[in-house]
Amino acid sequence: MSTERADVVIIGGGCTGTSAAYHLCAAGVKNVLLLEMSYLCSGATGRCGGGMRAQWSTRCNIQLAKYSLDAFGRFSDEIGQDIELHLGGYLLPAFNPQMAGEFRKNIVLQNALGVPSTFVPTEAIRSLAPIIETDTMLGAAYCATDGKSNPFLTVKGYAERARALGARIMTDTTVTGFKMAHGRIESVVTSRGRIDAGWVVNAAGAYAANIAALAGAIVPITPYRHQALVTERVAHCFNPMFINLYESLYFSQTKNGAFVMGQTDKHEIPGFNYRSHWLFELELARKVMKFAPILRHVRVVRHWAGHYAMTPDRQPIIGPCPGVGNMLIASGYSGHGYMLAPASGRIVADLITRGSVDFVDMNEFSMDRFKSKLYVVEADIV
Amino acid sequence: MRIERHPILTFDRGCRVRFTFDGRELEAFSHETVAAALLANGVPVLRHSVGELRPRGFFCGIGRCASCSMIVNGIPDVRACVTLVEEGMVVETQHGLGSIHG
Amino acid sequence: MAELHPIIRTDVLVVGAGPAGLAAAIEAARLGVRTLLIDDKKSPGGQLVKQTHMFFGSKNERAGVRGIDIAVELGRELEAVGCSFMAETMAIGVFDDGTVTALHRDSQIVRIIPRTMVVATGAFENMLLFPGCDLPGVYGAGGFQTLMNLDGVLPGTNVLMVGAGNIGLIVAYQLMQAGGRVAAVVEAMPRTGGYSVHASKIRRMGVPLHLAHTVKAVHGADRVNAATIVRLEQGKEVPGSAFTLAVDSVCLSVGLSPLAELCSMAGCRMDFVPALGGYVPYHDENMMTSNDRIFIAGDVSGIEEASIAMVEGTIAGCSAAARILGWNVEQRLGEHKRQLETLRGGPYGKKARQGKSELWGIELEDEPALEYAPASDLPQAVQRFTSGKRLVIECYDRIPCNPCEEACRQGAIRIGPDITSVPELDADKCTACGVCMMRCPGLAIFMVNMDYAADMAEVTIPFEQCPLPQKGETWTALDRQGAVLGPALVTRVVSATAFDRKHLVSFSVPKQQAHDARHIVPAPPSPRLIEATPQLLDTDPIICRCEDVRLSAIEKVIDQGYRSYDEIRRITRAGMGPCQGKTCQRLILQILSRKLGVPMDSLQPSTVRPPLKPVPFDVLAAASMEDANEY
Repeated sequence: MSTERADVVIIGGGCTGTSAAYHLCAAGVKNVLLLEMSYLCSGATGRCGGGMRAQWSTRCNIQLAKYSLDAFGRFSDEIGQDIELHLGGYLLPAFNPQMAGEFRKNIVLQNALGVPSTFVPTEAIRSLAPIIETDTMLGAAYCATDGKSNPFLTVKGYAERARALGARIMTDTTVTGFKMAHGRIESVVTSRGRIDAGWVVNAAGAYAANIAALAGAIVPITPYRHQALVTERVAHCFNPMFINLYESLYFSQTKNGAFVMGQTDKHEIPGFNYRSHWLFELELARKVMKFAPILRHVRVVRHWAGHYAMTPDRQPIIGPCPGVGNMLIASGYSGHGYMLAPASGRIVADLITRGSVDFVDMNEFSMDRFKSKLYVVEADIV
Repeated sequence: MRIERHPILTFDRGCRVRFTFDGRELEAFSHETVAAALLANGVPVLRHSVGELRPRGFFCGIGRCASCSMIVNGIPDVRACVTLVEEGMVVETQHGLGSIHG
Repeated sequence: MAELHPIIRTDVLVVGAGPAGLAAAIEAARLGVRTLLIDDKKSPGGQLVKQTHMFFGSKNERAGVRGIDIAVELGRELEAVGCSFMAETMAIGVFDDGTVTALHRDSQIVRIIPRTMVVATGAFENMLLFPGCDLPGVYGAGGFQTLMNLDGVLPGTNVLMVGAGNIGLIVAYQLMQAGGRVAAVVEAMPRTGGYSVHASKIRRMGVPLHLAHTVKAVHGADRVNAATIVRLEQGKEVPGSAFTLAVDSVCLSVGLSPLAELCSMAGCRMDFVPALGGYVPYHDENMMTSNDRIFIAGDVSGIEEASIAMVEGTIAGCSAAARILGWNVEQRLGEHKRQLETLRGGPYGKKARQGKSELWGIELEDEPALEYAPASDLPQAVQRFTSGKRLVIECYDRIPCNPCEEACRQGAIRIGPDITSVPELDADKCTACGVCMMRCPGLAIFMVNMDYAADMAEVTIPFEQCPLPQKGETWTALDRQGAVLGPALVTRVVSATAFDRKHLVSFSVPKQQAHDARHIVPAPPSPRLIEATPQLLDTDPIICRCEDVRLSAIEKVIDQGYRSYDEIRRITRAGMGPCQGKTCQRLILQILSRKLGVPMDSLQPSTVRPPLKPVPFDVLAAASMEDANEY
C-alpha cells in the first residue's frame, strides 16, 4: 500500500469528526481525510437520543450549545440535508426546592448568554407536556428553542458536504499506530496503509484515550456504557425532550413518532460494553409508568447500548494534546457530544486554520485544567 | 370463506362469538384469530401502512411481519394474526400510525 | 388468566416445541434433568400441527404417520416423561448473565434462568420482491397453511403458488384438499426442488407446473386479482414470455432461513452457509454451539426435513443433559448420528451434507452425479403390461423412505438398508393386496387390473380429497399431466380406519388408458383464466413493509456510497419498524451483495437486540426485579 498524505487526518466518523471535516473544508483546507474504523455513525452518535439543548450550568457549555443550536437550525439550508429538526423544547422538572433553586440560577446565566430559558410552574408543564404526571414536580426549567434532530442524517449531511468540498472518507479503516518524530505525529498507521499527516484530529469518542495512547499521551477520557431503547412509532403526542435529572433519564418522541429514552446506571463500571442488560428495560418501564402512564400500551421494539466518553468534570476536551505537537483532541463529551457537534467542528477548523478561537473561551476545554484540578463539574448531565 | 368439509381434518372452532369491525357486527368462532375471522368474513385489508397508507393484510401468520397490525379495543398495533377473537371485541382498521388515545 | 411464576430456574431450557424441540425436551427429561420446554403457540408440535400429509423416512421417524398425528404422539411422550411445557411463551431476550426473558401471552414477562439451553426455533420464510408483493392476498406459505389447516379458513380460491420445493408442492396439494384451486405453480429453477412424488401428485390433479418461471408482478388495488408470470433463461426474464393469470391469492414458498436470533443475541459464532439456508449458528456434531451452554437442533441449525429435526433434537437434548450430569456424550450418540447419516443420504440430502461438512471442516467424499427424476416426472419406462392385476410403484426418486417395504407382508418390495434406494417390486411375490398403497406417503403406488373386462381395465388409486367418489358415479380420468383422458366409472371405494383417511378408489377406463389414468375428478376442470397483461404502473416494490421503503430508495443510498446494512437502515429507516428487519434485512443484504458484487458472507447483518417481539411498558414494568443483584 502506498503512503498517502493529508493535511488533516480526522480519526472518528461520528458527529464530531464529520463536523470537523465539513468545517475544515468550508474554511478552505484542501486535503482532509477522515478515518472511521467501522461505518459512519457507528459509535455514540449512532446510538444517542438526538437531543439538543442550551440549558447547561456552565458558561462554555451554554455558549457552545447555543452556537450549535443555531447551526442545527441552519443545517438544512447550509448543508443541504434535512435532519428532521424538531424544536419542541426541553423540559427539566424540579423535584425539590434545591433543584428548583439550581435551575433558576442556571436560567439566569443562560438568559445572560442569550438563551430564552425560563422556569415554568407545574400547571405550565401540564400544558407543554400533557402526557406527563406532574404530582411530584415543583415546576420545571424549560427552553422552547431546544429540541431534537436525527443524528444519522446529520452525519450523512456533514460527510456528504465535506466530500463535495474535497474531503476523503475511509470507512472500515482502523488506526493501529502513529509514527512519531520530535513529539509530533509524522504519519498515521492504519489497517489500510500509512498516511503522512500535517494535523491529526482525535475525534474518536469513547476510543479517544486509546488513540491518544498510541501517540504516547494519557488522556482522561473513559468509556462508560449507556443503554437506550426505542418504541414503535405512534401518532405525535409529545413535544419536548424530557429530562429527569433526579433519576438520570431522558425521554422524548422523535419526529417520526417513536419514543427514545435512556437512563444512566449509577453502578455502571468503566470500560467498553455494548451489551444490553434485561434490568434496564424493567427499571425504565417502571419510571415511564410513574411519570407517563398513558404510554403503558406503547411497545418497546429495540434496546441497545453505546458509550459516553466521560471526563472527570464531564466537559469535553477540545484542544491540543499535551506532548503531541500536532494532535487536537475533540472528545470526552460525556453524553452531550451530538448537541455540540457544530461548535466542535468550528473550533477544530479555527484552531487549525487560524490558531485561535474567538467565540468561546477555550481554557475551559483545555487538557491543562486537569493538571491544576481547578475545574467546574457540569451538573446537568443525564 | 370457511372450509366446510375436509378429507383429513376436522376443525374445532370453539363457540360462536360476535365482534365489531369498523362498526359492523361480524360473527366468528372463539378459536379463530382476529385475522382469520376477518378473512372468513371476506375482509382482506387489515390496515393501511405507515407512510404511503398502502393496503396490507395477513402475511406471515406468526406475528412477525407486523403487516396485520390493527386497533383492538382501542390499542393500536395489535397483531391480528396471533390475537384470538373475543366476544364483544372492537376491531378497527388501522390507518398509518396508532395513537395513544385509542 | 393464570399467571406464571415470574422467575423460573431450570437445568435445560428448550426453546421451540417443534419436532426438534420436542425430541430434545423428551430426551433431556428422560435422562433425568429438570427440563422446561417453551413455545409461542398454544400447543406443542411446531410446523407438525399443520402437516396433514404422511411423513417419509423410516419407522424410527414415524414414516407413514401424518404430521398432525406425530405432533400429538410427541406431545403425549412429553407428558409421559414429565417435562414441563409453557405454551404461549416466546423467548424475547438472552443476556450475558444467562437470563432468558420470555413473553407470556403478550402480557407477562417471565425470567428463566437455565443452566443450559437448546434453541430449536426453526426457520423463517424468505421473502420475494416484486411489484405488488405487499398486497393483501400475498401470503407466506406458513401463514397460508395456518389459515387452511388450523383456522379452517380458505386463504384463496384461485391461488398462484410460487416455489416448487417440498413446502410449495405440499401446500398446493393441501389447498386442493381444502377445496381451493391452484392456478399454477411456478418454480424459478429448471427442476422442482421437492420430492418428485409431491410434484406428481399435483400434476395429475391438473395443476400446471411451470419450471424456469417466476412471478414478475402481482396486480390489484386493495387485494390481489392477477399475477404476471415470466419464463427465465439463465435466471433472466425471457422477453415476450409474460402471461397473466387471474388469481385471488399468491402463496410464497421460496425457501427458509434459520431463525437463529437468540443464538446471535447470545453472542454465538454465526457462519454463513448457503447450503444450510444462510446464517447458521456454528455447531459441532453434538449440536453444541460456540457457547458450551447453548445447543441447537432442527431447522435453526440448517434447513432440512422434520425427520432430521427429531434426531438432531435427541442429540441436542442428550448433549445438554450430559453437560449438567457431567457425562461423556460421545458414547451415547453414535446410533443417532448414524441415523442422521442415513436420513441425509441420497440426492435430497446432498445440500445439507455439503453444508454441515463446510461447517465441520470435513471434506465431502466424491459423490456420484446426482440422479434426479427427469423434469417432466414421467417414468422412464412405464411397463404397459397387457394382462394381469399388478401393482405399479411410480417412485423413481431417491427419497429416504421405506414404509412400503415395511408394509408388505409378502416381502415383495425391496429397498434395503439404504432407505434412499428406489423401491423394487418382485411381481412374483406380490399378491396385489394394496396395503403398500395405503402406506405410501407419496401416494405413488397404484394398482392396474388389465383382466377387469374385455376392453376395460380397472385402475385403483389412493385418494384423499373431498368429495369422495361413490360406486356407480361417472367421473373424469386425468393422466399424469392432468390432461383429460375420458370418463371413468367408479367401481369400488374402500375405506377403513386403518387407512388413516386415505381411500382406495377403483374406476374403469378403456384398456389403452390404463397405464396413464392416475387421478379422477368429478368433472373436467375448467380452464384457468389468462388475461391481458396489465401495464405495470408501479415497478418499484416495497422492501420494508413497516416503513414503506421502496427498492429505489435502498439502491439510491447504495449508489451514494453506503455499503452496509446498518447504514442503509439508519438513513432510510428500513428495518427500524416493529418487525426490526425480520422481513427486509435478508432482501437488503441480497441487494447489497448484487450491487457491490460481493459475497453475502462479507456483509455484516445488524446486531440482534432484545426484545425479539415488541413489549408494552406496562408488561415490562410489572416484571419481577427480584434477585437482580445476583448478577
